[in-house]
Amino acid sequence: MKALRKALRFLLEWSFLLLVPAGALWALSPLGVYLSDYAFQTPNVFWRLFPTAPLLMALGLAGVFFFAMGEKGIAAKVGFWTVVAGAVVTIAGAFGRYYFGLDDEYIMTAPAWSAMRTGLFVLAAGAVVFGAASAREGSLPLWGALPFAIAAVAGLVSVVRDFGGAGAVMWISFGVGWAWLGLSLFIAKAAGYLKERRAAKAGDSTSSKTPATYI
Amino acid sequence: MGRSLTRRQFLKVAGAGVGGAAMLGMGSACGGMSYLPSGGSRMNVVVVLLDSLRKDHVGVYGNDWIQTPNLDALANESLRFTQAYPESIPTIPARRAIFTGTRTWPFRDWVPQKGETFFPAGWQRIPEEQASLTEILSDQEFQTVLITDTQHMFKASMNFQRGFDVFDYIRGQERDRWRAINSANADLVERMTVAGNDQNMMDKVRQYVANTWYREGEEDYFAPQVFRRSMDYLEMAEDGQPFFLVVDSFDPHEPWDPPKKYVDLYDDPDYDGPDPTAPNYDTSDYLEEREIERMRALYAGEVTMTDKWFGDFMNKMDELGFMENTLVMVMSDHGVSLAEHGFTGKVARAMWPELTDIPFFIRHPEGIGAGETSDFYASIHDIAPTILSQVDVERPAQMTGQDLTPLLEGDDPEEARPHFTLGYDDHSWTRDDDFILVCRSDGEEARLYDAENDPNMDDDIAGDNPDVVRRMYDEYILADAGGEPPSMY
Repeated sequence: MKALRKALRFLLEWSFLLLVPAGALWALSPLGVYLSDYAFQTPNVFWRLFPTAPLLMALGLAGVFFFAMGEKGIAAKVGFWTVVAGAVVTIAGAFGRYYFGLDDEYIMTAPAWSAMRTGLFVLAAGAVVFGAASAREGSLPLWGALPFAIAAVAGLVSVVRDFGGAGAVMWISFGVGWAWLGLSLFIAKAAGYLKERRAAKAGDSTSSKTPATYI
Repeated sequence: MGRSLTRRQFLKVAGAGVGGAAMLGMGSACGGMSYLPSGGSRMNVVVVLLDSLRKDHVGVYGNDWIQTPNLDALANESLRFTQAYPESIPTIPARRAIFTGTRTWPFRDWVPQKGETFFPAGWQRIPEEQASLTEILSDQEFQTVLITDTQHMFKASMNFQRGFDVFDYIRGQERDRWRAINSANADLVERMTVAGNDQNMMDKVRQYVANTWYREGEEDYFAPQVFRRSMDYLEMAEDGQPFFLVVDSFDPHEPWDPPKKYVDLYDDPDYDGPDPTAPNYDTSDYLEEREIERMRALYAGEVTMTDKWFGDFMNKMDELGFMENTLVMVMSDHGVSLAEHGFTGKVARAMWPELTDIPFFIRHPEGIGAGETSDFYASIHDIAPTILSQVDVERPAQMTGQDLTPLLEGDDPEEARPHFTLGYDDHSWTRDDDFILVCRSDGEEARLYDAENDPNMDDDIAGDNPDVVRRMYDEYILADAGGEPPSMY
């Protein structure tokens, strides 16, 4: 039982790594749309897979929020919960549109598409707030949180409307930003771990005071 | 002062450069497609085209004896244009304008098509370099469907099926070379023609009779077939939304041979003379007075039959709930002369209101513009830009028609249109609020009418107003045509 709890704890602590595949999937989605259309004459085959990205983002960010961050301010909390809400709405919209065909029935109100687009906007807005707040508060490494916040701004712009090639680049940047956040936390955690090992070897008693978080 | 780049710095810069280039590459490689999920508020679009339906033969336009209750009912739920015109006449140039949103007049690009029997200027396929509304909507995931008996559209020399996912061509109308002409019953041909019919019209009726000998009941007539097949499509349309359905009925085009019950609404049921079902495209002096009356009754009967089946189609739309999410446009491509000004059929120099004026309604599913009228000079080449605007799709630069949405919403038009110009073969027609001018496209044989006091164009005042004729020719026809239209005389 103790081993199971330990394993679970380990998984939760490292769940921020989900941000890497989440960001990669997001960043690759313009290519996925193109390939889907090329192979199946419709982009919707890709869009059926797309909900995985916001789902992994929400789970990965939960890992960050609950297990990896230092002292969290109100803005970071608001940002986190906004991202979660945006991801849930995006996933619901995507399922409504691509699995349940809601918009085929209600073509003028298009509830599923509207939900999906709203969810994307909320998710990106939440990411801006979360990234900026984390960078400002110092609850995440600056070199991880700041690029994430900047990429989130690009993502927010890209989901407002279709900006063509420039929009696609901004959309991809947003995905890269998420992956970068996950990688930066991994690097920070690995660096902390190595530092702790070195300190332990050197018999440095201060190493035991290394905080559980990265900062 | 020189400064060396460390290996780490180089890798950082190179990595960032490669990453940036990769993103740009991916962004631009997929540039043709949206990176966002497509969709949003959509609506179906239904365009009903009734060939040769005269504006003055639709009740809502002021005719108190014609029976068109279904068109009238739709008009009352629609924005109704009171001064709508085809930018070009006849069938094929008009349809090119509808599908491309582009003017076909003054027919500079006309290439006579091999295998044709009719050669008015502009009578040709949609030019390859022009995009069609259908292709654009198909790209936007609309299911595109054409149901028609307008035989000219599916001749081998034409390409009006471009972009349609479904095209249902109903064979046998008019001169469609569907069945061997020698199988035509001679007695029937004689009953459906008059002594003065020229050989051209005799041949038209012979082919028509050869094509239609199998008829058993009203449902076998052409307008019923077109609308019934359209209703069949509606039954299966729910899973194909949004859809773009074009119902193109050649009726009430001649030959006019509706079931007797419709003709009896407008003429003596005991009439036993010959039926002038196909008018000569010429002066009307070949017809006796009684034959003219009969011809008008036949046409009116054909209009009412078409209206009846159009009504059934609209009822099916309502029954299936499509009136709530479908933009409906109904219009004609031109009228037809029934000896009002000494001509029958469609003669280029006979551009009086019976030939040029068309009904045009737009019914928005949310009731926008319902019951309103507009005296804007709306044209059939405005249809494509309006549809694209309504479904929120950008229109290509080639589309020179106007988006009529502002008028639907009760606003000023996109661009003022103080005059309008149209063309039919070697003749041009133009009007403003004061005058209407008809002339050969080189300006010869001009006739001028007072638009306000003589809307029926009965009194030619060109002789007394040479300056007005000159001004309208120079400022309207030549200006709109970009110089003198090509010579075809």
